[in-house]
Amino acid sequence: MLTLADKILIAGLVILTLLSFPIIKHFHHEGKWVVIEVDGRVVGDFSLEEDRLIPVDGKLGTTRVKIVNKGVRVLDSPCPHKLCVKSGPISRSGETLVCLPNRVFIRIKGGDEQSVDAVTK
Amino acid sequence: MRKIKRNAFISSLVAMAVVIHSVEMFIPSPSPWLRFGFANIIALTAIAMFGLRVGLMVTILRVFLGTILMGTFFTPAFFLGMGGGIGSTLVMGMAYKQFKGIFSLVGISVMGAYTHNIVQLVIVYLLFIRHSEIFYVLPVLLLFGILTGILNGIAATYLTTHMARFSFVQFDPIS
Repeated sequence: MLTLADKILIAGLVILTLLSFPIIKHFHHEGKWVVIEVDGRVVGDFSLEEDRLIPVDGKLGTTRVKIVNKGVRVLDSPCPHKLCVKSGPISRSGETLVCLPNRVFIRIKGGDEQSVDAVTK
Repeated sequence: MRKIKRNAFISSLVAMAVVIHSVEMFIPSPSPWLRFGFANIIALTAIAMFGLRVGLMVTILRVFLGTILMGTFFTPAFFLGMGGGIGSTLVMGMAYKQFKGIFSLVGISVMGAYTHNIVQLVIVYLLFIRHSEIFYVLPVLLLFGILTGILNGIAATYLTTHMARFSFVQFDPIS
């Protein structure tokens, strides 16, 4: 049933597809970033991959932001209600931590924008 | 009379394709991306018996009717099925016309399956998920597609050789 051309075609496509694995892997270098803004100005971009402590100077004082285990959290903040501290760690793209009194705005960008990629039936 | 028979035959091809399309939705699969595409057997048969135009017609009608039946009309499944179906049918139709003696239906089916996967992923990228990361799954889909393409090609070969018994169908089956 298979002709010689069929066999060559199938073998060729299989080899081509296997070779494409490393090429496709190249796409993967888009890591996730933490963007910190104070009063609408971007203070800095930080990689989620490396753990670090970032002091951010806001309107009321210094908000201490910590990147740990590929997540971000606010350690402490000079604001009255500490909502940003209670918001806990965030790690997904598009998630935000906001400290309104101190005008500090932290968000994660890069990677998949939604927590759910798509739903299909 | 011949024309009526031919049209009735094409209609029954569409009906078969719709049923296959619908029933295939119930076949469990590890991911919604991995499908056998058995409806392509009918598209390929239609191409082999009546040419590219009829094959295209069968595919378009199949996606319309199948998605209306399954309640996925104008959902992503509809656009993916339509785009992939038209793309693969065009490639198979042209390949059949050009290389009829060189490739068997199996080879042509593999070309169709390969095209189907690429077109579908491009549609997913353009319409639904604008992230280049989705192309990671492409090699896996393509490998699986080659396998299903071979299976469908074998099925289409049997189907066309059996259909060749009908007197009103003029075509030379390639074994």
